[in-house]
Amino acid sequence: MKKKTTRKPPTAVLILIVAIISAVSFAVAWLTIGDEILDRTYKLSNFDAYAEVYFMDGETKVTPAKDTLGAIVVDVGNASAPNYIGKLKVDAFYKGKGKAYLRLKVVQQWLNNSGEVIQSNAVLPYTVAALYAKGVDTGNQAKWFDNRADDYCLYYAQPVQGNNSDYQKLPVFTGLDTAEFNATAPLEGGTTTLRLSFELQMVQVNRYPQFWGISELPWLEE
Amino acid sequence: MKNKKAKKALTVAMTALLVLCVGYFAALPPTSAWFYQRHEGTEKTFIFGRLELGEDFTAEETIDLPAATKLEDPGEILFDDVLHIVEVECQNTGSLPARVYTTVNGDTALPNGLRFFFYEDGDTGVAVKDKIAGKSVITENDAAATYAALDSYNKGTGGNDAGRYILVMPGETKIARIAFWADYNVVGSTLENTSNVSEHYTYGPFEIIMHAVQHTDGAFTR
Repeated sequence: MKKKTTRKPPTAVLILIVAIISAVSFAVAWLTIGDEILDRTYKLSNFDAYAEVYFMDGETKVTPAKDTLGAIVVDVGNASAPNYIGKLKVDAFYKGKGKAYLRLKVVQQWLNNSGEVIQSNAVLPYTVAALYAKGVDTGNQAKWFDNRADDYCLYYAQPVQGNNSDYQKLPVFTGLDTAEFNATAPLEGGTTTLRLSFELQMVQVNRYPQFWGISELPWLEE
Repeated sequence: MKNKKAKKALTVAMTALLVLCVGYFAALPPTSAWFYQRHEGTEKTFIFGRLELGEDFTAEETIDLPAATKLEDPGEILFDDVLHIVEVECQNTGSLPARVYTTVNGDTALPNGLRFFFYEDGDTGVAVKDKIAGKSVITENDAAATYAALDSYNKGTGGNDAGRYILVMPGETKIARIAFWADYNVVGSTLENTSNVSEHYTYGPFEIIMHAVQHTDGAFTR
Protein backbone atom coordinates (compact mmCIF):
# COMPACT_ATOMS: atom_id res chain seq x y z
CA MET A 1 0.00 0.00 0.00
CA LYS A 2 1.26 3.31 -0.96
CA LYS A 3 1.60 5.78 1.84
CA LYS A 4 -0.11 9.12 1.10
CA THR A 5 2.14 12.05 1.90
CA THR A 6 1.39 15.77 1.72
CA ARG A 7 4.34 17.86 0.64
CA LYS A 8 4.63 21.28 2.18
CA PRO A 9 5.85 23.99 -0.18
CA PRO A 10 9.37 24.97 0.71
CA THR A 11 9.64 28.03 2.92
CA ALA A 12 12.12 29.59 0.53
CA VAL A 13 9.56 29.53 -2.27
CA LEU A 14 6.94 31.25 -0.10
CA ILE A 15 9.40 33.91 0.92
CA LEU A 16 10.44 34.37 -2.70
CA ILE A 17 6.81 34.94 -3.74
CA VAL A 18 6.31 37.56 -1.01
CA ALA A 19 9.58 39.25 -1.93
CA ILE A 20 8.62 39.40 -5.61
CA ILE A 21 5.23 40.94 -4.77
CA SER A 22 6.95 43.52 -2.59
CA ALA A 23 9.49 44.32 -5.26
CA VAL A 24 6.82 44.67 -7.94
CA SER A 25 4.74 46.91 -5.68
CA PHE A 26 7.80 49.07 -5.22
CA ALA A 27 8.28 49.42 -8.97
CA VAL A 28 4.61 50.12 -9.60
CA ALA A 29 4.63 52.77 -6.92
CA TRP A 30 7.24 54.73 -8.84
CA LEU A 31 5.10 54.63 -11.93
CA THR A 32 2.00 55.92 -10.21
CA ILE A 33 1.08 59.48 -11.14
CA GLY A 34 0.57 61.88 -8.27
CA ASP A 35 -2.04 64.55 -8.92
CA GLU A 36 -2.99 67.78 -7.23
CA ILE A 37 -6.22 69.42 -8.35
CA LEU A 38 -6.97 73.13 -8.00
CA ASP A 39 -10.51 74.21 -8.84
CA ARG A 40 -10.86 77.58 -10.52
CA THR A 41 -13.48 79.79 -12.14
CA TYR A 42 -12.63 82.23 -14.89
CA LYS A 43 -14.29 85.64 -15.13
CA LEU A 44 -13.91 88.51 -17.53
CA SER A 45 -15.99 91.66 -17.77
CA ASN A 46 -16.35 94.55 -20.17
CA PHE A 47 -16.99 98.20 -19.24
CA ASP A 48 -18.77 101.33 -20.29
CA ALA A 49 -18.21 105.06 -19.77
CA TYR A 50 -19.85 108.36 -20.58
CA ALA A 51 -19.43 112.02 -19.73
CA GLU A 52 -22.18 114.21 -18.38
CA VAL A 53 -21.91 117.85 -19.47
CA TYR A 54 -24.24 120.39 -17.84
CA PHE A 55 -24.57 123.89 -16.40
CA MET A 56 -25.49 124.63 -12.81
CA ASP A 57 -27.67 127.74 -13.05
CA GLY A 58 -28.13 128.39 -9.34
CA GLU A 59 -29.76 125.21 -8.07
CA THR A 60 -31.02 124.30 -11.52
CA LYS A 61 -29.20 121.72 -13.60
CA VAL A 62 -29.36 122.67 -17.27
CA THR A 63 -28.48 120.05 -19.85
CA PRO A 64 -27.37 121.68 -23.10
CA ALA A 65 -28.53 120.50 -26.49
CA LYS A 66 -25.86 119.13 -28.81
CA ASP A 67 -25.66 120.12 -32.44
CA THR A 68 -25.30 117.60 -35.26
CA LEU A 69 -21.54 117.41 -34.68
CA GLY A 70 -22.00 116.71 -30.97
CA ALA A 71 -20.87 120.16 -29.84
CA ILE A 72 -22.57 122.64 -27.53
CA VAL A 73 -22.56 126.43 -27.72
CA VAL A 74 -21.68 128.30 -24.55
CA ASP A 75 -22.16 131.93 -23.65
CA VAL A 76 -18.82 133.59 -23.01
CA GLY A 77 -19.91 137.13 -22.07
CA ASN A 78 -23.16 137.11 -20.10
CA ALA A 79 -22.60 135.69 -16.61
CA SER A 80 -26.34 135.49 -15.97
CA ALA A 81 -27.05 133.32 -19.04
CA PRO A 82 -28.03 129.72 -18.15
CA ASN A 83 -25.31 128.41 -20.49
CA TYR A 84 -22.57 130.79 -19.33
CA ILE A 85 -19.23 129.02 -19.48
CA GLY A 86 -18.53 129.77 -15.82
CA LYS A 87 -21.41 127.46 -14.93
CA LEU A 88 -20.16 124.52 -16.97
CA LYS A 89 -19.45 121.21 -15.25
CA VAL A 90 -18.32 117.85 -16.57
CA ASP A 91 -18.49 114.52 -14.75
CA ALA A 92 -17.16 111.15 -15.89
CA PHE A 93 -19.12 107.95 -15.25
CA TYR A 94 -17.93 104.37 -15.69
CA LYS A 95 -18.96 100.87 -14.77
CA GLY A 96 -17.73 97.31 -15.31
CA LYS A 97 -15.18 95.04 -13.65
CA GLY A 98 -12.76 95.33 -16.52
CA LYS A 99 -9.64 97.29 -15.57
CA ALA A 100 -9.23 100.38 -17.70
CA TYR A 101 -7.82 103.88 -18.19
CA LEU A 102 -9.98 106.94 -18.73
CA ARG A 103 -9.31 110.15 -20.57
CA LEU A 104 -11.47 113.11 -21.44
CA LYS A 105 -10.90 114.72 -24.79
CA VAL A 106 -11.76 118.42 -24.84
CA VAL A 107 -12.19 120.30 -28.11
CA GLN A 108 -13.18 123.92 -28.57
CA GLN A 109 -13.71 126.25 -31.50
CA TRP A 110 -13.84 130.01 -31.42
CA LEU A 111 -15.89 131.43 -34.25
CA ASN A 112 -16.22 135.03 -35.38
CA ASN A 113 -19.57 136.55 -36.23
CA SER A 114 -19.18 135.27 -39.79
CA GLY A 115 -19.02 131.70 -38.54
CA GLU A 116 -15.35 131.27 -39.34
CA VAL A 117 -13.10 129.37 -36.95
CA ILE A 118 -10.57 131.85 -35.58
CA GLN A 119 -8.93 129.66 -32.96
CA SER A 120 -9.14 126.15 -31.55
CA ASN A 121 -5.99 125.62 -29.55
CA ALA A 122 -6.45 127.73 -26.44
CA VAL A 123 -6.52 125.70 -23.24
CA LEU A 124 -9.45 126.99 -21.26
CA PRO A 125 -8.84 127.56 -17.52
CA TYR A 126 -11.36 125.11 -16.14
CA THR A 127 -11.23 124.25 -12.47
CA VAL A 128 -10.24 120.59 -12.41
CA ALA A 129 -11.43 118.36 -9.60
CA ALA A 130 -8.33 116.71 -8.07
CA LEU A 131 -5.69 118.05 -10.44
CA TYR A 132 -2.47 116.05 -10.78
CA ALA A 133 0.28 118.52 -9.91
CA LYS A 134 3.16 118.20 -12.37
CA GLY A 135 6.49 118.10 -10.58
CA VAL A 136 4.84 117.40 -7.23
CA ASP A 137 2.74 114.29 -7.74
CA THR A 138 4.48 111.16 -8.92
CA GLY A 139 3.33 107.76 -10.10
CA ASN A 140 -0.33 106.75 -10.24
CA GLN A 141 -2.74 109.06 -8.44
CA ALA A 142 -6.52 109.30 -8.15
CA LYS A 143 -6.27 112.65 -9.95
CA TRP A 144 -6.69 114.14 -13.41
CA PHE A 145 -3.49 114.78 -15.33
CA ASP A 146 -3.94 117.74 -17.66
CA ASN A 147 -2.27 116.89 -20.96
CA ARG A 148 -4.41 119.16 -23.13
CA ALA A 149 -1.42 121.13 -24.35
CA ASP A 150 -0.19 117.97 -26.10
CA ASP A 151 -3.29 116.02 -27.11
CA TYR A 152 -6.42 117.88 -25.88
CA CYS A 153 -6.92 115.24 -23.18
CA LEU A 154 -7.09 114.96 -19.40
CA TYR A 155 -6.10 111.53 -18.12
CA TYR A 156 -7.29 109.91 -14.94
CA ALA A 157 -3.91 108.93 -13.55
CA GLN A 158 -4.65 105.40 -12.40
CA PRO A 159 -6.63 102.43 -13.68
CA VAL A 160 -10.29 102.31 -12.76
CA GLN A 161 -12.33 99.23 -11.97
CA GLY A 162 -15.96 99.39 -10.92
CA ASN A 163 -18.79 96.93 -10.77
CA ASN A 164 -21.24 95.65 -13.32
CA SER A 165 -24.40 97.23 -11.96
CA ASP A 166 -23.80 100.89 -11.00
CA TYR A 167 -21.94 103.69 -12.70
CA GLN A 168 -19.20 105.29 -10.59
CA LYS A 169 -18.86 109.07 -10.79
CA LEU A 170 -15.63 111.01 -11.17
CA PRO A 171 -16.01 114.82 -11.36
CA VAL A 172 -13.68 116.39 -13.94
CA PHE A 173 -14.51 120.08 -14.40
CA THR A 174 -16.17 121.79 -11.49
CA GLY A 175 -16.04 125.38 -12.73
CA LEU A 176 -13.91 127.98 -14.51
CA ASP A 177 -11.37 130.59 -13.51
CA THR A 178 -13.41 133.42 -15.03
CA ALA A 179 -10.81 136.13 -14.33
CA GLU A 180 -8.15 134.28 -16.28
CA PHE A 181 -10.67 133.36 -18.95
CA ASN A 182 -11.67 136.98 -19.47
CA ALA A 183 -8.02 137.99 -19.62
CA THR A 184 -6.89 135.38 -22.12
CA ALA A 185 -9.84 134.33 -24.25
CA PRO A 186 -10.33 135.87 -27.76
CA LEU A 187 -13.57 137.60 -26.79
CA GLU A 188 -13.13 140.43 -29.32
CA GLY A 189 -15.80 142.71 -27.96
CA GLY A 190 -18.44 140.03 -27.59
CA THR A 191 -18.54 139.11 -31.26
CA THR A 192 -17.19 135.58 -30.90
CA THR A 193 -18.94 132.31 -30.22
CA LEU A 194 -17.46 129.31 -28.42
CA ARG A 195 -18.39 125.75 -29.31
CA LEU A 196 -17.28 122.91 -27.04
CA SER A 197 -17.14 119.19 -27.41
CA PHE A 198 -16.24 116.54 -24.80
CA GLU A 199 -15.51 112.88 -25.39
CA LEU A 200 -14.80 110.42 -22.59
CA GLN A 201 -12.66 107.48 -23.71
CA MET A 202 -12.03 104.26 -21.82
CA VAL A 203 -9.54 101.58 -22.82
CA GLN A 204 -8.28 98.28 -21.38
CA VAL A 205 -5.14 98.74 -19.28
CA ASN A 206 -3.06 96.90 -21.87
CA ARG A 207 -4.44 98.44 -25.05
CA TYR A 208 -3.76 102.19 -24.84
CA PRO A 209 -0.78 101.95 -27.23
CA GLN A 210 -3.09 100.50 -29.89
CA PHE A 211 -6.16 102.69 -29.31
CA TRP A 212 -4.65 105.94 -28.08
CA GLY A 213 -1.43 105.82 -30.06
CA ILE A 214 0.86 106.50 -27.11
CA SER A 215 3.64 104.24 -25.90
CA GLU A 216 3.72 105.69 -22.39
CA LEU A 217 1.13 107.10 -20.05
CA PRO A 218 1.73 110.88 -19.96
CA TRP A 219 1.87 111.24 -16.18
CA LEU A 220 4.54 108.53 -15.99
CA GLU A 221 6.78 110.00 -18.67
CA GLU A 222 10.21 111.11 -17.54
CA MET B 1 22.89 16.96 1.33
CA LYS B 2 24.03 19.48 -1.25
CA ASN B 3 20.40 20.21 -2.08
CA LYS B 4 19.58 20.87 1.57
CA LYS B 5 22.41 23.37 1.90
CA ALA B 6 21.30 25.25 -1.15
CA LYS B 7 17.75 25.34 0.16
CA LYS B 8 18.92 26.74 3.46
CA ALA B 9 21.02 29.41 1.77
CA LEU B 10 18.10 30.40 -0.44
CA THR B 11 15.82 30.65 2.61
CA VAL B 12 18.25 32.96 4.36
CA ALA B 13 18.65 35.11 1.25
CA MET B 14 14.92 35.40 0.68
CA THR B 15 14.29 36.22 4.33
CA ALA B 16 16.83 39.00 4.14
CA LEU B 17 15.20 40.36 0.97
CA LEU B 18 11.75 40.27 2.59
CA VAL B 19 13.02 42.09 5.66
CA LEU B 20 14.63 44.73 3.46
CA CYS B 21 11.46 45.30 1.42
CA VAL B 22 9.14 45.47 4.40
CA GLY B 23 11.65 47.59 6.31
CA TYR B 24 11.95 50.10 3.49
CA PHE B 25 8.22 50.80 3.36
CA ALA B 26 7.93 50.84 7.14
CA ALA B 27 10.73 53.40 7.32
CA LEU B 28 9.01 55.86 4.92
CA PRO B 29 7.54 58.85 6.74
CA PRO B 30 3.80 58.54 7.20
CA THR B 31 3.17 61.59 4.93
CA SER B 32 5.01 60.02 2.04
CA ALA B 33 1.94 58.26 0.82
CA TRP B 34 1.92 56.99 -2.69
CA PHE B 35 -1.50 58.38 -3.24
CA TYR B 36 -2.93 61.59 -4.56
CA GLN B 37 -4.98 63.95 -2.49
CA ARG B 38 -7.69 66.39 -3.39
CA HIS B 39 -7.51 69.48 -1.23
CA GLU B 40 -10.46 71.39 0.14
CA GLY B 41 -8.92 74.23 2.09
CA THR B 42 -6.10 76.71 2.24
CA GLU B 43 -2.37 76.31 2.49
CA LYS B 44 -2.34 72.64 1.69
CA THR B 45 0.69 70.68 0.77
CA PHE B 46 0.54 67.87 -1.67
CA ILE B 47 3.01 65.05 -1.38
CA PHE B 48 3.80 62.47 -3.96
CA GLY B 49 6.46 60.07 -2.94
CA ARG B 50 8.93 62.58 -1.70
CA LEU B 51 8.05 65.39 -4.04
CA GLU B 52 6.04 68.09 -2.34
CA LEU B 53 3.88 70.61 -4.17
CA GLY B 54 2.80 73.44 -1.93
CA GLU B 55 0.70 76.49 -2.77
CA ASP B 56 -1.53 78.89 -0.92
CA PHE B 57 -4.89 78.45 -2.52
CA THR B 58 -8.52 77.96 -1.79
CA ALA B 59 -10.49 75.03 -3.09
CA GLU B 60 -12.45 77.13 -5.55
CA GLU B 61 -10.84 80.38 -6.55
CA THR B 62 -11.88 82.84 -9.23
CA ILE B 63 -9.43 83.94 -11.84
CA ASP B 64 -10.64 87.48 -12.36
CA LEU B 65 -8.86 88.58 -15.49
CA PRO B 66 -8.55 92.38 -15.78
CA ALA B 67 -8.60 92.48 -19.58
CA ALA B 68 -8.18 90.43 -22.73
CA THR B 69 -5.02 90.39 -24.83
CA LYS B 70 -3.45 89.25 -28.08
CA LEU B 71 -0.36 87.09 -27.76
CA GLU B 72 0.32 87.14 -31.49
CA ASP B 73 0.20 90.95 -31.72
CA PRO B 74 3.77 92.36 -31.84
CA GLY B 75 2.34 95.69 -30.64
CA GLU B 76 0.98 94.12 -27.47
CA ILE B 77 3.73 95.50 -25.25
CA LEU B 78 1.61 95.23 -22.09
CA PHE B 79 0.83 91.53 -22.37
CA ASP B 80 2.25 90.80 -18.91
CA ASP B 81 0.00 93.42 -17.29
CA VAL B 82 -3.16 91.37 -17.71
CA LEU B 83 -1.94 87.91 -16.78
CA HIS B 84 -3.10 85.90 -13.82
CA ILE B 85 -0.25 83.71 -12.63
CA VAL B 86 -0.74 80.63 -10.46
CA GLU B 87 2.38 79.62 -8.55
CA VAL B 88 3.04 76.12 -7.24
CA GLU B 89 6.05 75.39 -5.07
CA CYS B 90 7.64 72.07 -5.93
CA GLN B 91 10.02 70.58 -3.40
CA ASN B 92 11.80 67.32 -4.03
CA THR B 93 13.05 65.92 -0.74
CA GLY B 94 13.63 62.49 -2.18
CA SER B 95 16.61 60.94 -3.90
CA LEU B 96 15.31 60.73 -7.46
CA PRO B 97 14.72 63.48 -10.03
CA ALA B 98 11.05 64.19 -10.67
CA ARG B 99 9.01 65.92 -13.35
CA VAL B 100 5.97 68.08 -12.81
CA TYR B 101 3.43 68.40 -15.63
CA THR B 102 0.20 70.34 -15.65
CA THR B 103 -3.21 69.82 -17.18
CA VAL B 104 -5.77 72.61 -17.41
CA ASN B 105 -9.27 71.81 -18.46
CA GLY B 106 -12.89 72.28 -17.63
CA ASP B 107 -15.52 69.64 -17.28
CA THR B 108 -15.06 68.92 -20.95
CA ALA B 109 -12.65 71.47 -22.39
CA LEU B 110 -10.72 74.62 -21.65
CA PRO B 111 -13.08 77.56 -21.06
CA ASN B 112 -13.75 79.64 -24.12
CA GLY B 113 -10.92 82.10 -24.73
CA LEU B 114 -8.85 81.08 -21.71
CA ARG B 115 -5.20 80.42 -22.58
CA PHE B 116 -2.26 79.37 -20.46
CA PHE B 117 1.52 78.96 -20.49
CA PHE B 118 3.38 76.60 -18.15
CA TYR B 119 6.88 77.76 -17.23
CA GLU B 120 9.51 78.32 -14.57
CA ASP B 121 11.64 81.31 -13.64
CA GLY B 122 14.74 79.75 -15.19
CA ASP B 123 13.27 79.96 -18.70
CA THR B 124 14.96 82.50 -20.97
CA GLY B 125 13.49 85.99 -20.80
CA VAL B 126 12.36 88.38 -18.11
CA ALA B 127 8.78 89.14 -19.17
CA VAL B 128 6.40 86.21 -19.58
CA LYS B 129 5.84 87.21 -23.20
CA ASP B 130 9.60 86.96 -23.76
CA LYS B 131 9.62 83.51 -22.17
CA ILE B 132 6.80 82.41 -24.48
CA ALA B 133 8.65 83.86 -27.47
CA GLY B 134 11.71 81.91 -26.32
CA LYS B 135 9.77 78.69 -26.90
CA SER B 136 9.23 79.67 -30.55
CA VAL B 137 5.47 79.42 -30.35
CA ILE B 138 4.54 82.95 -31.46
CA THR B 139 3.79 83.55 -35.12
CA GLU B 140 3.25 87.28 -35.47
CA ASN B 141 -0.30 88.28 -36.42
CA ASP B 142 -1.36 84.64 -36.77
CA ALA B 143 -3.46 83.61 -33.79
CA ALA B 144 -4.30 80.14 -35.12
CA ALA B 145 -0.67 79.15 -35.65
CA THR B 146 0.39 80.72 -32.38
CA TYR B 147 -2.16 78.90 -30.27
CA ALA B 148 -1.62 75.60 -32.06
CA ALA B 149 2.08 75.84 -31.22
CA LEU B 150 1.33 76.88 -27.65
CA ASP B 151 -0.96 73.91 -27.25
CA SER B 152 1.78 71.54 -28.40
CA TYR B 153 4.24 73.19 -26.05
CA ASN B 154 1.94 72.84 -23.04
CA LYS B 155 0.47 69.43 -23.77
CA GLY B 156 2.91 67.76 -26.12
CA THR B 157 2.28 65.99 -29.37
CA GLY B 158 1.07 62.71 -27.94
CA GLY B 159 2.62 59.41 -26.99
CA ASN B 160 5.64 59.85 -24.78
CA ASP B 161 5.66 63.60 -25.47
CA ALA B 162 3.37 64.96 -22.78
CA GLY B 163 4.54 68.53 -23.26
CA ARG B 164 6.28 70.95 -20.94
CA TYR B 165 7.42 69.68 -17.57
CA ILE B 166 9.40 71.24 -14.76
CA LEU B 167 12.33 69.10 -13.67
CA VAL B 168 12.94 69.10 -9.95
CA MET B 169 16.16 67.48 -8.82
CA PRO B 170 16.55 65.77 -5.43
CA GLY B 171 16.85 68.33 -2.66
CA GLU B 172 15.71 71.14 -4.96
CA THR B 173 12.77 73.53 -4.64
CA LYS B 174 11.32 75.23 -7.71
CA ILE B 175 8.35 77.43 -8.44
CA ALA B 176 6.22 76.16 -11.30
CA ARG B 177 4.08 78.91 -12.78
CA ILE B 178 0.98 78.86 -14.95
CA ALA B 179 0.18 82.17 -16.64
CA PHE B 180 -3.46 82.61 -17.70
CA TRP B 181 -4.97 85.16 -20.05
CA ALA B 182 -8.10 85.77 -22.10
CA ASP B 183 -7.71 85.68 -25.86
CA TYR B 184 -9.06 88.90 -27.37
CA ASN B 185 -9.65 87.11 -30.67
CA VAL B 186 -12.29 84.98 -28.97
CA VAL B 187 -13.82 87.32 -26.39
CA GLY B 188 -13.23 90.70 -28.03
CA SER B 189 -16.56 91.10 -29.79
CA THR B 190 -18.45 90.56 -26.54
CA LEU B 191 -16.18 92.95 -24.65
CA GLU B 192 -16.80 95.63 -27.23
CA ASN B 193 -20.54 95.46 -26.62
CA THR B 194 -20.72 98.24 -24.04
CA SER B 195 -24.51 98.27 -24.02
CA ASN B 196 -24.42 95.10 -21.96
CA VAL B 197 -21.90 95.35 -19.14
CA SER B 198 -21.73 92.15 -17.16
CA GLU B 199 -19.51 89.27 -16.24
CA HIS B 200 -19.58 87.92 -19.73
CA TYR B 201 -17.32 85.00 -19.07
CA THR B 202 -17.91 82.95 -15.97
CA TYR B 203 -16.88 79.39 -16.53
CA GLY B 204 -16.17 76.73 -14.07
CA PRO B 205 -15.19 75.08 -12.16
CA PHE B 206 -12.33 74.07 -14.35
CA GLU B 207 -9.32 72.31 -12.98
CA ILE B 208 -5.62 72.91 -12.81
CA ILE B 209 -4.06 69.50 -12.24
CA MET B 210 -0.42 69.12 -11.25
CA HIS B 211 1.13 65.75 -12.07
CA ALA B 212 4.32 64.59 -10.36
CA VAL B 213 6.11 61.65 -11.95
CA GLN B 214 9.54 60.16 -12.22
CA HIS B 215 11.99 61.68 -14.68
CA THR B 216 11.33 59.31 -17.56
CA ASP B 217 9.65 59.78 -20.93
CA GLY B 218 6.35 57.93 -20.93
CA ALA B 219 5.97 58.04 -17.16
CA PHE B 220 3.12 60.46 -17.80
CA THR B 221 0.88 60.38 -20.86
CA ARG B 222 -2.21 62.46 -21.55
